[in-house]
Amino acid sequence: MNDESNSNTIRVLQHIQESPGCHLRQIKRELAMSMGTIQYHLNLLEKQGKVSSERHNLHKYYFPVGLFEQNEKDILKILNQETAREILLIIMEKKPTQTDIVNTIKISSASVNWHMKRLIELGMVLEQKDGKFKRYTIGIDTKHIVSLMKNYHPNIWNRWSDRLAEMFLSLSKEDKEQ
Amino acid sequence: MILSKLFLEIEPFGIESGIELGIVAFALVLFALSITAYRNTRIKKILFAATAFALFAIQLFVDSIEDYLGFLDEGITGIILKLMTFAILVLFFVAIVKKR
Repeated sequence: MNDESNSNTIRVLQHIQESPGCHLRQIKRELAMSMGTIQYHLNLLEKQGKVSSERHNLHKYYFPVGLFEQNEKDILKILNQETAREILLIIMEKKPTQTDIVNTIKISSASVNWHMKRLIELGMVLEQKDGKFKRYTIGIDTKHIVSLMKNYHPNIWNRWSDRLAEMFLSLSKEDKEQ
Repeated sequence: MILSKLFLEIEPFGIESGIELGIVAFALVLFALSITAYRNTRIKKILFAATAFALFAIQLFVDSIEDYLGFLDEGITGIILKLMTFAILVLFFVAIVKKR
């Protein structure tokens, strides 16, 4: 591989690291390279195990390997859910309690509780005691989450299925906030 | 003139079967949506609702076949269709009362 090709591979890799979840056309637009060249470098990076891809609808999304370790796929699943995204945005804005989240999103506390458990299990959100309340903060690099959110968003089908799940979640009785 | 004559000829079979087809298609969309919701969340109660939507589509399909082809025994079909309605309601009930 010559120096120019090598530097282009590095540019593509750096772009994916800075903007995880970007797709081919976005990379083309940002780096002003031809489609064929980018595809070549992406294949190379995938073969080298430096990036991974995930097909979602019409696009293939690229991620730097090891960014979220084992949980990578689960985190993408979470970001594909409308409510989980909203919860993450609220947590990024302030350190909310579960009641703050319920009042802001206006969904049942059972539903919020279920989402919070999942986010905590994946290490995306941390729980902190504040008197008799629990407050939540983001557990992984906010920059990466924002970048993923910008690039990887739910389609209408996932939004609807998410709302259907919310409907069933709201029918469940759940322990109230501590 | 020709169009209105044609419309009268295909009606009521066309409209009725069109509506039935629409209901079956809609039930299948709801079934697929619930399966996606289950795959994303792994909440088992959604599976009960998904089964109910699928059963609803099957019930309408059996009912249409019975109406248009009429080769099935009316008495037995009637019982099967009623049992399916009961099963659909039971499945929705379980989906509501089941914890997760």
